[in-house]
Amino acid sequence: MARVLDRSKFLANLRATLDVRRAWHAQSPYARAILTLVYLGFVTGTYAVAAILIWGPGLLHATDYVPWGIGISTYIFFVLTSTGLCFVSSLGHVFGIGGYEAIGKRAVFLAIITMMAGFAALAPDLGRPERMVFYLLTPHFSSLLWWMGFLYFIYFVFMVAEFLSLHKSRMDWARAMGVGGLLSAIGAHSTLGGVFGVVMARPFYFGAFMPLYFLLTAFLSGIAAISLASITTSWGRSRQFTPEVVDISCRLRKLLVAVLGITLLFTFWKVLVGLYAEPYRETFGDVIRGPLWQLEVILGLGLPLILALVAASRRIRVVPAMLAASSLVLLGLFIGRLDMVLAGQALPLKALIAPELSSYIPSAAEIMVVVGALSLCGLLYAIGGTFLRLEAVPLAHSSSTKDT
Amino acid sequence: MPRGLSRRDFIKAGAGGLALASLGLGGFIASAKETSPDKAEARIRNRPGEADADWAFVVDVDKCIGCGRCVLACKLENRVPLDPLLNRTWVERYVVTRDREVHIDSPGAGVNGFPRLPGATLGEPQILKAFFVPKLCNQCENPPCVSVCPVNATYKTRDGIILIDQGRCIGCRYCIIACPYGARYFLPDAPVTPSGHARVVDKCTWCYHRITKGLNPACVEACPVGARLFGNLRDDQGVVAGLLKEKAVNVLKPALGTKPRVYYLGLGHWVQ
Repeated sequence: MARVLDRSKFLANLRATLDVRRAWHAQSPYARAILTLVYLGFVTGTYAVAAILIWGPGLLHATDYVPWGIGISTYIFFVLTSTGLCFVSSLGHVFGIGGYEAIGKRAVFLAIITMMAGFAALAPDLGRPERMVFYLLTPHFSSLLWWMGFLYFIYFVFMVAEFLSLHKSRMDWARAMGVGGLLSAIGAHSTLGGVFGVVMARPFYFGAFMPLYFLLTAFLSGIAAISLASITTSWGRSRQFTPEVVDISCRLRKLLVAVLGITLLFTFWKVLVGLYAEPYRETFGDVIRGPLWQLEVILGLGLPLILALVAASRRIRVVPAMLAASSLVLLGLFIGRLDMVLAGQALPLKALIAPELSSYIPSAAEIMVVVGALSLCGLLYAIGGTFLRLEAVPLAHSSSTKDT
Repeated sequence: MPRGLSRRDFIKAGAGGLALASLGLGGFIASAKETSPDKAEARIRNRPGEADADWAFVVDVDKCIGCGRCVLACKLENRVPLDPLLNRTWVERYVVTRDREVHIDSPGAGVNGFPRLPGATLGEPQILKAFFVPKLCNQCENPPCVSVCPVNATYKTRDGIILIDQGRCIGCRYCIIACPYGARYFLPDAPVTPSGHARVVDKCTWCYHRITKGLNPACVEACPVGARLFGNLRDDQGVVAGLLKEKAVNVLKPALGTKPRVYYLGLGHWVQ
């Protein structure tokens, strides 16, 4: 009997919590306009995914010379951002580094939704997504793609458990799940790098570089994503940069400078080694002459580094500088993932059957899927931000209850 | 209380049902495989025989005239769509100019032969050497495409041929990325496909349904100049075994360690 009562109470609570109408009216006109756009983007993406599944992969511009296109690169972008967010979230409640607890819950939530957006972008790129049941029925343990899927599943479970623990302020559980999430993130995402690293046929992919590079740039995108989300949310709420946001921006700025520096060093050596070795010189030369690579390095690495460094000299401007830098980093990495995926396929492995096959330009449906994945992220973030108290700092709450 | 218990039971029953349903789904998919047109290939996995074969393919580059009959024969035999972009085998034209530049093309996979080269850029006096290289799946001893498949859809038979279970392929295209020879292609929705499945990966099988019955692959039969030869290396008296014994042969991209089993006669260092 008590159980029934509990349930009705729970449902009433849930209804009150998920009062969409009130939440909608509580938003400013700007926020409503953005939400409408995000919703339209989501509808567009859903339509594109359905169209590809119904009318077939003819809507994709992938060819047998460039079998992997923007769908794969968008997937990589999102899941690596998810890893990075997992790293950032673990700074506070796993490693116990002071000052990072404030972004822990938001980062874990963002890690979950970027992961979902990543898989949403990947699904239409598979010829037969409905056959994913064979992942379980006939697994192939020598395939890194299989291990990637398996580890992602574990990672996803840990992240959801970590979020629930944070939501319920169960810090012991959150720490345990955080450790599991962190380890499975390192496993899953370096395996994604390994998926490319083991391909001997394509010199740009081959080698131990990719798994390490993926983890490093994942951290970079995680720092950028949490900065962007924290700053824009704070501004949206109160039309000003709260002291908390200034504080966290200062901390994240230092991290960003360090990781950007290391990424530039990685990029330098990748290119230098590529240009040095005669058989790869042509491929690497084409890559660095390409607009995508230049945008990635100048817009996504160089400019943000300068912004983040300059911001140190005048403390007051740290927040806008971080807003710009993190936006540029995310844009640069999005372009960079596409460039990375395409660079490995730039050198055709056989003679061209038709000249137009040598280059890849995303199709309308593919771009709509990308818009949809981004919008899905935005939509879920709006829902989470409204209903799930992402700004909560469970550690402080937990320790205070422990003290009493 | 009983309510809670019954809910637990309900969940248990649901989980059991789900497990049964997934088993049933697997069975359904497995049975669907049996009804596919290319039954011979679909059942190969459990087939005990043919392990005494050691198939080899020889391509004589000096003989090939680039007529493209092999490409057409392959399409007709294997129900490969007639779309010029979709091919299990194709012919490449190599033109080496006097400045040591190598120009490679394969218009429409060479199915209709090769049009004259644009004379303005490549006049005959500048051409050092020109020749045709037919290509097909190398049925590697160490196939990079097999190890990357996440669902075991592509596999090596006992007699060393790499096949695809197209009823299981999820269409991720990782094998296309991994194959160093560009031998694999993605089958879009088409009215006719080799196995009846679409949106999956396809490739040359050396006409496995023919060779296991003692016949030659279709492309070998169609070649008017004998540039394509096929045989079992266990047969010491065979033409192919004799050629491999007596002549110098090359394989494509030997440095990758894939150990291809398509051997080329007269393959110059220009060819990649």
